[in-house]
Amino acid sequence: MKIAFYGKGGIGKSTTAANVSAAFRKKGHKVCQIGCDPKNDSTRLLLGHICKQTVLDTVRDSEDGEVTAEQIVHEGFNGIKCVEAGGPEPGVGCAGRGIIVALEKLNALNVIPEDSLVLYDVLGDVVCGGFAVPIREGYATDIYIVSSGELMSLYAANNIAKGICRFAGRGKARIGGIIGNSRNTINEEKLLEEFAKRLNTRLIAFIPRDIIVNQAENKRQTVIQFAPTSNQAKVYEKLANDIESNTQLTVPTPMTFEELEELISKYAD
Amino acid sequence: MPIKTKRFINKKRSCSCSMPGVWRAVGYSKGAVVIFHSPKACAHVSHTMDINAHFRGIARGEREPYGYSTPLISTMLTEKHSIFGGAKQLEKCLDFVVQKYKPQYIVIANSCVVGVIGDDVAAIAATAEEKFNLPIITLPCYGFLDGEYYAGYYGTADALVDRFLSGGLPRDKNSVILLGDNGGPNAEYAVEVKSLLAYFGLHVIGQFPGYVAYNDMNKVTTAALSIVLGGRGQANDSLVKIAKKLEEKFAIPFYGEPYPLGWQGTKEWLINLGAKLHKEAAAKKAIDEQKERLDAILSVAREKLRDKKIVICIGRQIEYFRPEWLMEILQLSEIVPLGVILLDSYTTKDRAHMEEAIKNCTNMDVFNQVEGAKIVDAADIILTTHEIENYNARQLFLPMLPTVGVTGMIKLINNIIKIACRHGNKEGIVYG
Repeated sequence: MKIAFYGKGGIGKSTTAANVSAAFRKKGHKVCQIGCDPKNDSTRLLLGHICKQTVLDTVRDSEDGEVTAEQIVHEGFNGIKCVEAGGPEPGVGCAGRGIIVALEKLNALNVIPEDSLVLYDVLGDVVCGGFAVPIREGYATDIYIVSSGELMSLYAANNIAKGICRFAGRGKARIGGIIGNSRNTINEEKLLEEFAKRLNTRLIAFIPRDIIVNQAENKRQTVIQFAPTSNQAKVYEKLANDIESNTQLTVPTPMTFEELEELISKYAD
Repeated sequence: MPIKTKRFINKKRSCSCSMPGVWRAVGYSKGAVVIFHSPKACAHVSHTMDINAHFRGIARGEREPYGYSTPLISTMLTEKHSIFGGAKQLEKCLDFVVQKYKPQYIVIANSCVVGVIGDDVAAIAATAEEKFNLPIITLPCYGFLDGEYYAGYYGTADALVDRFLSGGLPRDKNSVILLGDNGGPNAEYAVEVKSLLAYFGLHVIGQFPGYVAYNDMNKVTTAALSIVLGGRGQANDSLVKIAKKLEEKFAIPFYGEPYPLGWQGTKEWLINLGAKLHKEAAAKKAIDEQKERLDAILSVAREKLRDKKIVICIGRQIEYFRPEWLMEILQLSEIVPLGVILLDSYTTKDRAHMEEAIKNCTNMDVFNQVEGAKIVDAADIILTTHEIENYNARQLFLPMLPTVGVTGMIKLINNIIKIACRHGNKEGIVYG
């Protein structure tokens, strides 16, 4: 399986991705999580620290541009392979180009075993061609969008759906569902359910807000590692199961901004 | 036999990069170094332009200005700079340039890559300017992204005026500063203009911006008049803007009339200059003498070309080829060509523009490339903007830059005579 998690910045993609990766590993899958964000913090909860050797850092520091798999693939919790694409400092260079180069490099090095379940954790919105690469070039086939019930989060999710829709004709990438990451807004679950329906997909999970997530993050761990018997860990495990068995992969039908506003106002009270 | 051009011709309109324009604007200015904040290939293009210009000049027997051209250095951006930014690379390049070339000023031209990744070139230049105590000019042009060749050329010229021209020097009352390039001070255009200016007692003190050394920059403001060495639309427009700026800042009046092209154009240019300078008698004398030169060659042409069947093939866009000057030469030589063939290089709109321009200056038949095959088969000489393959007729390749003044007309007529009067059945092409 080749999965990608997209969603607005700060919505909880990396936390969800790391927990889902951990849950997949627990089920016995070989797992590789690839962070596609210049912040390179996607794999922090799996590695127990921020990744210090990203693909692009290694390429930059190498005199001839050559890198080896050992330099860029790191082993995290329970043997999960962790890769961070990396990228420029804020305000300089082009992070999108970085993602393209990093993924091409990973491909060329053939570092991901065929039998691995690969999870791409991609920065924020599909802001430019670079961040569409996992969808466009077929690196990922099953796309999940993490969203809360807040307007800007739904707006980003709708934009990502537009990106998937744009490239649906040329590749296998389809939307697998919306992963609701609760922010405790009014009627949040119902809103997300209808939002998903309008996008021609479904709400595959609604992750409740739980302090245990923060506690685990403070310890640089996933909830699966930190509190494996907790209810929250079960939520992530169920999500992994649902993703694995998901056959409802569709081409999304994005909304106009006006339609989105109307939908949100419907659930505002 | 169908007409086939030697080179592939593309109907799409061309576009250009601002970077060579930046380089050209200071290309022969002693004291300058140009940095292309770009991949290496961008600098290669401008370097090739310089080499080509050098050899074209040699072929025409022109002397290269100062035997000098401005160093062009590339920051050699690579993939990793496009990801992480090229700021450090530019800083390193500035250090290198200052140490190696000890320039009096630096101009930085930005490439498309820099425009996309958003390096803060102006801030880097400002810091380096302070560090090295050296003027460093940056421009808001990014390769092909915004503006074309002339945006870079004009932007640089404009910046030079702002940075280096301060005035305060006494006016040299019979002096002229030429504005523009057209091959430089020793090329046909500038040489012809200089010779015409001599009728009015004017002498040229320099050619701005590309051929003025840093140490002489402020001397531009001593000119009593600026003359635009114009040409095609964009070039002329940007040069007129510079001329107006010099007028506003330093009270240097400018003469921006269309340049002395063809006999009618030359006459008008001289008359209007005479009127501007209140030297009508000098203008009349110039016209009389130039007319005498022209008549001499025309009488030779009429005799030598009397029985020749001539066909014209045009494939350049109207911006790059005005048919009027060629038609005028043929009319004055009493030559009636078999017709004009418009090659398959035009969009519908461009073709309509060219047809209209041709109809405004002649009643010759206009053919398309297919129809034209029959008159080409019958031709002794083809005057063409594109080399034609597989034809026995002799060809004169029409110059990209129109010939200037009577000297230019004489040169072109001589070339037509030369190809027409080749011995025996010799074919071949002469480059006009």
